[in-house]
Amino acid sequence: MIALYFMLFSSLVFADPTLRWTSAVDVVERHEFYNDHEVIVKPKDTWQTLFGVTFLDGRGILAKDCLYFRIPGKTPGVLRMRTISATESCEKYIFDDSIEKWENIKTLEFSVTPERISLSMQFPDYKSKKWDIPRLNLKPNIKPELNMSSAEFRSGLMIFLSSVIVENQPKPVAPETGKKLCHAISDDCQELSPSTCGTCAKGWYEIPNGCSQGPKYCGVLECGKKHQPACRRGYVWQRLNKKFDCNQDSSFAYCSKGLVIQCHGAEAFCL
Amino acid sequence: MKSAKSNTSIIPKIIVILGTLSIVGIILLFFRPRPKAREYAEKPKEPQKLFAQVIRASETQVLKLWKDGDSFIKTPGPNCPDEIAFEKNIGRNYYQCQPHFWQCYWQGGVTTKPGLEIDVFGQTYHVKARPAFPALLDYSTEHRFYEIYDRKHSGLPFHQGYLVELEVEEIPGLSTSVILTDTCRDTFLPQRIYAYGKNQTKSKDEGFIWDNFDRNIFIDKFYVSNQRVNEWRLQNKQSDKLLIDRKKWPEPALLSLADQKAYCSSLGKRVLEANLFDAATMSPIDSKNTKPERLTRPQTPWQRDHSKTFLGMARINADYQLTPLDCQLAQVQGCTQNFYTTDSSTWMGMNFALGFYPESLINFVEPEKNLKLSSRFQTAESEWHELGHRSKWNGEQDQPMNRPVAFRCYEEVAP
Repeated sequence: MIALYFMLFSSLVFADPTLRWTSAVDVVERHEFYNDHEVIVKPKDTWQTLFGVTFLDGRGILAKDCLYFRIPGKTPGVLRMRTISATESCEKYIFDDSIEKWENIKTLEFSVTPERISLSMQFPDYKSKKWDIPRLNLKPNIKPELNMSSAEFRSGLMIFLSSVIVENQPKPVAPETGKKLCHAISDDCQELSPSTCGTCAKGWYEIPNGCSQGPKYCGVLECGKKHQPACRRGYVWQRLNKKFDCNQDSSFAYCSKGLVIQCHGAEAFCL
Repeated sequence: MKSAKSNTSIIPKIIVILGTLSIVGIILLFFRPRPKAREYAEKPKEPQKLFAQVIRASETQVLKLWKDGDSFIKTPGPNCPDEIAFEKNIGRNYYQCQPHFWQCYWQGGVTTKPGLEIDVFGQTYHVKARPAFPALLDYSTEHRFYEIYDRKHSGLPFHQGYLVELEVEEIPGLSTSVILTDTCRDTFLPQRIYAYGKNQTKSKDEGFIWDNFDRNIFIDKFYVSNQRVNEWRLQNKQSDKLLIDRKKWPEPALLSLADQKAYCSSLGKRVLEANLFDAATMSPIDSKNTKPERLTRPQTPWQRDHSKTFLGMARINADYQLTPLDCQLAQVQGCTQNFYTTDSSTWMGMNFALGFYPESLINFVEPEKNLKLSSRFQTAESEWHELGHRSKWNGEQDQPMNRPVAFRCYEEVAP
C-alpha cells in the first residue's frame, strides 16, 4: 500500500518520458525510412509514427509509449506522445489527441540503439530539447553456454520498472493457460508464425515432425504415451544430415517401451 | 679541412631529422585514439536523472548482494531467526538468490548498517532497499524488503522474480522498483548427442541415443527445497501447508509426484526426465566434440570405471572406511547430512548425481524406471550407486516402505 501510494505520487511528478524509458523493454514499430541522427524533413505536414517504446510500469504491467511527429512544412512541427497497452498498435492512435505534446518544432532527429534512446528537438528561438536515455533493461542477445542460467539467458539479471503508473490501461492479456498453438510450423519445416510459447502460463509441449523446430502448444502434456504425441529424440544423432519424412524414417521421435510411432502427416504420435 | 666541412654538414641534418620527427610525433599525438570520456561524468542537475544514474551505477553491487549473498556472511553467521536458521551443514549456495537472506541483510541481521556505497560523480551515495511490502505474517511481523513477482500477463520474458524497491539515502523522496531474477537456480545443458541408460551388454548395440540440438534446456542445480515450495504455497494461498521450521527450509521438499509436476509447471518448468539426468551426469569424453562417433556411459560422474571409486572399493572391501571426501562426492549411508553443497558437481554443473536423496525422474523411454534410488539410505557397497540404474516409484511419499523422494525441475526455454 505504501509502495502503491508512493508510485502514484511519483507518476504525477514525473511525466517526462525520459524517466520511464530507462525501463524500456523494447523499441517497436520504428519508422522504417528514418535513419539514426537524420533530421526528419519529409513528407512535410504529415503525421508519422516515429517509434513505440514498451516499458514496465510501476505495477509491472507492460505499457507502450507511441511517439508521433507532424513534420514541419507550412506549419511548425509537433511531437505527440500517447501511452497505450503494449498489445495495441501505435498506428491505431496516430490521429488521436495525446496528453503530452511538444509544439513549434523546427527540426527533429532521433536514434535508437540497444543501449540508448536519443531524441533532439530544435525550436525557432534557438532553444532546444534533448532526450538521451540509457536503457537499463538491456535485452540479452546471447547464446546459451555452459554454466549459464535460464534467467540470465532469457531476461537478464535485473529488470527495472518505471516509476510511473499507467492508468486506464486495457486489462493486460493473461498468460495462455489453454492448449493453444504457440509456434506454428508447417509439415515442410516452414515457420508459419513466430513463437509465442514464452507467454504460456504453464510451459509448452512440442510435437516432433523431423524439423529443427516442431509445432508447439501451450500446456502440459507427457509425450510418448498411447495416443499422445511422440517425444522428440533429435535429428542429429543419426548422423545422416537429411530431412526426415515421418512415414519413411521416424527416428527423430520415440515412444515409451511397447508403443509404436504413427505419423499424422509429418507429426509423430504414439500408438 | 674536408673532415671539418663534413662535421658542420651532419649537425644541421640531424637537427632537421629530429625536428621533422618531433613535428610528425606531435601530429600523430593529435590524431591518436583517445580514451572515451567517461559516461555520465557530468552530474545531472535534476534529482530524478541523478537518481536514475546512481541506481544504474549500483547495479553491480545490488546483484552481488543478491547473487553472492553468502560472501557477505561473517562468523558467527547471520542473526535473523525469523528468516534463516544458520547451520554448518548448509552449503553457501543456499544464500545465493535467496530472498530470506535479502530480507535478513536489510533488516540488519548481517551487518548493523546495511547499505551499498556507490562512488559516482565524485560523491559517495548510499543505496538501500525499502521495506515497501506487507509483512508475511506466517513468517514474521516485519515489513518485507521483497515481494514475489508472478507474471500475471503475457509479454514478459520470465515467470517469476522478486520485486524489490531501491532508494538513495542522499536523494530523498525517490525510489525505484526492480525485479531480481533467479540466476542461481539452474544451468545450461549443452547441445550435443547423448546416451541414455546403462552400458549395453551387446557390445555393438549403441543403446538409446538422442540429441538436444536446437533446444535450450536448463536443469536445476539442486533439489527443490522446502523454502521454494513454501513460496509456491504462499502464491497459491495455502498458508496451512507452509513448513515453518526454518532449519528444514534448505532440505529437499518431499512432495507427491502430482505436486512435483504442479510445482514445476507453475514456473513453466517440468520435473526432470531420466534421459536429461543421464546427459547431465555422464561426463562426455571430449566436451568440445558435440557429435562424437562413439558414446560412453560412465558409471559415476567423476570416474568412468566404478571399480576405481570408493563405491567400487567398498564392494570388495567390507571394512572400507568412508572419508570426508567420499561423502562430498556421494552422500551414502554413514555420511553426515549436508545440503546445498557443490563438491558433487557434474560436468555441466548439476549436483547430487549419486547418493544424497532418492530422486524422482520422469522416464518416457522406460516409464517404470522413474526413480534414482542411489541415496544416503544405501550403504556404499550398494549396487544402486551407478549412473543409469533406476528403480520404480509409485509417486507417493507417505507409503511406509518408501524412502523420501526429492525432485528437481528443468526448463526448455521456448525459441
